[in-house]
Amino acid sequence: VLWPLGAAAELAALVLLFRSTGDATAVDVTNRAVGGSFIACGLIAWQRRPENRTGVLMTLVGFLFLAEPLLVEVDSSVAYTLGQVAANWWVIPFAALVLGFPSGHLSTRIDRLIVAGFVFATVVLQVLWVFFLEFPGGKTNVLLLSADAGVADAIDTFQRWFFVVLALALVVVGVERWFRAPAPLRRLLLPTLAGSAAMLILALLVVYQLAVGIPSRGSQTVLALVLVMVPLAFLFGLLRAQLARGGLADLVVALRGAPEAPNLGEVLAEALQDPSLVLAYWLPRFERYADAEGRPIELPADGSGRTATFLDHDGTRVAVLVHDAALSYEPELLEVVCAAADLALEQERLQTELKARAQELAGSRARLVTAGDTARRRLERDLHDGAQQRLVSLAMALRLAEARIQDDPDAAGQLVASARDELAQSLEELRELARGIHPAMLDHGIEVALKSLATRSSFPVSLAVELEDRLPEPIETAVYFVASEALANVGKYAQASTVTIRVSRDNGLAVIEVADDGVGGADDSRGSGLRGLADRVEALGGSLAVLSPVGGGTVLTAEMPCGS
Amino acid sequence: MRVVVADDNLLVREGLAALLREAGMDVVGQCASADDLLVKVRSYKPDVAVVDVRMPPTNTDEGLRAAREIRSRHPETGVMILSQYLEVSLAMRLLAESAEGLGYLLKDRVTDLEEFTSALRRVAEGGSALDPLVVSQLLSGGRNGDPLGSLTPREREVLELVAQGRSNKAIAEELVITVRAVQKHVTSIFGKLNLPATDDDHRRILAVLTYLRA
Repeated sequence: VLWPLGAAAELAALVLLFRSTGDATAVDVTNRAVGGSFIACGLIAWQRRPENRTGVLMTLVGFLFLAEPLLVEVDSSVAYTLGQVAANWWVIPFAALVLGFPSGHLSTRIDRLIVAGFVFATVVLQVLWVFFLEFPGGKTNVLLLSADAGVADAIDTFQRWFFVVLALALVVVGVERWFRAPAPLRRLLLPTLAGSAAMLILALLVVYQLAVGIPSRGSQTVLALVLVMVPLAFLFGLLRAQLARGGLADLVVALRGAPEAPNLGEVLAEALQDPSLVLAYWLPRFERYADAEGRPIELPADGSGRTATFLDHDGTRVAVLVHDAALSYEPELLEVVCAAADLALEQERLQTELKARAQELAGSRARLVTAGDTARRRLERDLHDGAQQRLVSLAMALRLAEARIQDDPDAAGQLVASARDELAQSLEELRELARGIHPAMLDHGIEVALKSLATRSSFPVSLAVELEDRLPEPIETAVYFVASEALANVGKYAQASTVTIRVSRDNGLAVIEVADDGVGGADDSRGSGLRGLADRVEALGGSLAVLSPVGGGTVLTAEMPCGS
Repeated sequence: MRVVVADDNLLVREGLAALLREAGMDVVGQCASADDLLVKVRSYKPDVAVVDVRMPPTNTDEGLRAAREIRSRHPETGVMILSQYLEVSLAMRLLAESAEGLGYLLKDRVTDLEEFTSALRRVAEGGSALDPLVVSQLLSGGRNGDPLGSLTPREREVLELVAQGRSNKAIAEELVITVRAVQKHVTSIFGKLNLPATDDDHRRILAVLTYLRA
């Protein structure tokens, strides 16, 4: 709707210009074109950045700029009067535009004061002026209270000086803002500078007129040209992506390198060309933000010139970028940078997780080695103290028997008999030892092995093996040792009356569960036996869980992936 | 010959005592710990103590420490260390300090009663005894440019027996050659290995062990 309206208004303004004067100068044409320029650029900006008020303000400037020339041509004294009253209203949104760029919001008090001043100057004072003004050319002033040229002139002069002061204040604020911005961001604030320049020229024009009495033709020309260009500057400033292109390439290269926590913030600062940028991580445990060194970071207050952009991953707060407020007006760039940062942070998180996993792995590997060493040492000790000693004494007994077999056959016979007992005991000991190394029963399947385990147990064990075919060998061995260790623990601590062992295969997982009705209270972080079991199960990619409420029995469950 | 036997395993200790009595020795004491051993050695002053390497309380090297103590406090008592395992470095550490009146044999050797008692006698008389397996392991540790390689097979046999702590006479009997021939071989061996010639059995075994250990 606004497009044809704007086009019509501009067209009408131009046509009227030519009709009324007949010899329109280039300056006049340019002056009228200012409105159209603002409307066109404003509408484009509005369309591309609906969330940004800059486009709205520009469109408003354009329409208000055309209001006076159009209204005064309408053949109605009301319209004419209104045209006179509204002649300078366009300055209000223009000031807001310059001061509010790039968001269109007035964030500081001085901004709001200046704009309010312009409202006072162009609305209140203007109306006051019109109250006492007799329009030239016989037009009727519908607001006329009493025609008094003296009062009107006085109001007019005051209004003009007041206007100059406001304009200069705006220029000072705009330029100061530009200077204060970090160098890379100054480009972003160029429209503010251009607007300030237009305002300055406008102020000079007014001063000149006040001093000399007639408008300066030259400065009018310059003003008209500048005013036509200003909306273009704003539009360009709002839509350009220059900053993005250069910075993003560097960002991607930098992130592909080593996205480590301490310099991720620096990389982002460089990409966004804001050296003041700070990357702060959300610490859920402390419910606050902290930088990579752990120093707490406060979020910036509104109007402080700094803004926070939040990084969320899967709905969880991860980090925040605290940066110059001007950057908020490059939302696409910020979005891309945040996405890159999110990726980098995610990668970092995965790497940290990986490191932790590797550490855990190294720990369990070391424990496995130690467990192996311990087992071997125990085996050696068992052999040394048991079978070997028996065999040595056996050899000695036989040697003695040999010596006596001639002259004392009875004694020799006794020696041989005791030697036979020794030998039988040695064999039994060796069998026990061998079972500790590898349960030979496993060769006949896990069920047979577990049955023999259950038979040897001193308490009743009910066994349920729900398997259709055999498990892979390492899994069978692990299942056997889980059962064996669990039964040993039950015997030692649980004071249980029954134990149930259940082995099954479920969704590619081999599951063994050993449940007793004993006293409970087992702690898997305490016993080295359970830790060793957990290492064995984890080495096969599985997991071991112990549920053991005090007084509520113990359920030990091990799950291991078994392929099918 | 008066003997004290120390082994924490009752069967082994009794068997050992029975064997030694069978061989005509006088077993004056049996003990199951190193402390008991030291007490019995002090009271009975045996000619030799037969000591197991591992004994309570830690079952590591109590026997060895007791052996050192006996040798330094009661030089008149020889010590025969018995070990279940072939612990070459342990044996070398023990004997290389002083081989005098000290022996190291694997436990299995006791069943060859003649060899065992002769080794015991040697140690009781202040000589040495080193298990043949330890010696052959030492000799098999081939080093580059090893002068051992230049020994004749016969010289090598003689060297092994020397390292086991045998006297020239014992070596001559073992190899069925004359004592003079043994002396000739020994001189040749010491020349080849560049060791100082000596007639003293004790210094001879120390020199050989030091050489083999290097």
